[in-house]
Amino acid sequence: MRLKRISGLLVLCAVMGLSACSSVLTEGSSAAAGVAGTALAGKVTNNAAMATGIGLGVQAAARAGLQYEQRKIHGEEQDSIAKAAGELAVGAVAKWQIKHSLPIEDNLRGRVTVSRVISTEGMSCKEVVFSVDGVVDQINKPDSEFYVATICRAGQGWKWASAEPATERWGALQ
Amino acid sequence: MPLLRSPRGAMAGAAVLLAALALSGCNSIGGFAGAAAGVASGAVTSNPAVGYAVGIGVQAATDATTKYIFRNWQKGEQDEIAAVVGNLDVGHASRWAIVHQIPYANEHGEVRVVRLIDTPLALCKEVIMSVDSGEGDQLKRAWYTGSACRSNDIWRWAVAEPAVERWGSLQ
Repeated sequence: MRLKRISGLLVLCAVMGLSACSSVLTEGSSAAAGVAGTALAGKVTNNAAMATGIGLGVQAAARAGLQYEQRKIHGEEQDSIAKAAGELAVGAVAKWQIKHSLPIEDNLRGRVTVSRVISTEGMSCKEVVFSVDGVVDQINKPDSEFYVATICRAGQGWKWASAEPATERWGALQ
Repeated sequence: MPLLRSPRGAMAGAAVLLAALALSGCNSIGGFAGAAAGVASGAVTSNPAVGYAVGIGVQAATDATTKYIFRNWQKGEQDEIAAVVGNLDVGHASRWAIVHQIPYANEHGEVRVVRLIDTPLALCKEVIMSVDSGEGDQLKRAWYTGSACRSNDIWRWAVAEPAVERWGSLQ
C-alpha cells in the first residue's frame, strides 16, 4: 500500500519535473495519507476537529514510514562506497556504484580512494575521498563532485562512520 | 469563517500571522501558509477533509520552497568558506564572512587549513573554522572541523553526510 502510494507520487514528481522532489515526496505522501485518514474518520465522527486530529496522526505515521524507506535506500549507497573502499590501501582507487531497490534516489556511481588510515586499539577506520561522477549507464557529469567521509570496520564488513554535524550547524537540514 | 472579509480584517490577519512568524521562526512558514489556505478553502466548502487537503497541499509546497531557500543560503556560506580555503596554504588562516542579500543568517569567523589531503582522485584540505558572534570582550567563537575539495579548479565544501544510523531527527 505504502509502496503504491510512493510510486504514485514518484510519477507525479516525474511529470512535474520538480528539483525538490524529495521533500514534496515526503510531504506529499504523508499528506495524502493524512487526508485519507481524515476522510475516513469523517465518516465515523461528525466532529471536524476530531477527524482532523485523526488525519494528522495518520500523516505523522506515513511520514515516519517514508523517512524509514529513504534512510534504508540511502544506507545502501553508503554501504556500497564503504564496501568498495574497505579493502583499499592508501592511495589506491576503486569504482563504486549503486542500484537501488526502490527508485527514490538516483543510481549513482563514482570512484573512491583512501586518504588516511585511522586506527587505535581495537578500532580500524579509514578516511576516504570519493567522487560522484554521474548516474549508472549514463555519461559522466561535466564536473565530478568530491567528498570526504570516514568508514570503520564493523564485524566482517565496513560501515559509514561520519557522525552527524553539530546541532548548531544543522541549518536547513532539519 | 470569512477570513479575509474586509481589507481591515485582512490587515489584522496579516499582522497576527507576522507576529506568529516572528515568534516561531521561519521553519513554520509552511504550516502557517497551509493553515491559512486550509481555513480559506474551508470557507468555500463545508467538507473539512477538502479544506484539510488543500491546506496540507499548500503546506507541502511551501515547506519544500522554504527548505530550498534555506539550503541555498547554507550553500552560499559553504562556497564562501571553501573559496577562502582554496587560497590558503597548510598552517595559514584567514577571515571568512557571508553577507546574504536578505540580511538574515549572516555569519563570519576564521578558517585555518590544518592538513592537505592529496589523493589520486582529488586535492582536498582539512580545515578548522570558527563562527564568531559578539565583539570585544563579548566575542564568542565556536569551532568546527570540515573539509573542502577542488573540482575543476573550484573549491567546494566536501563534508559528506552522516551515516544514516546517525541521522536522528535530521531528516
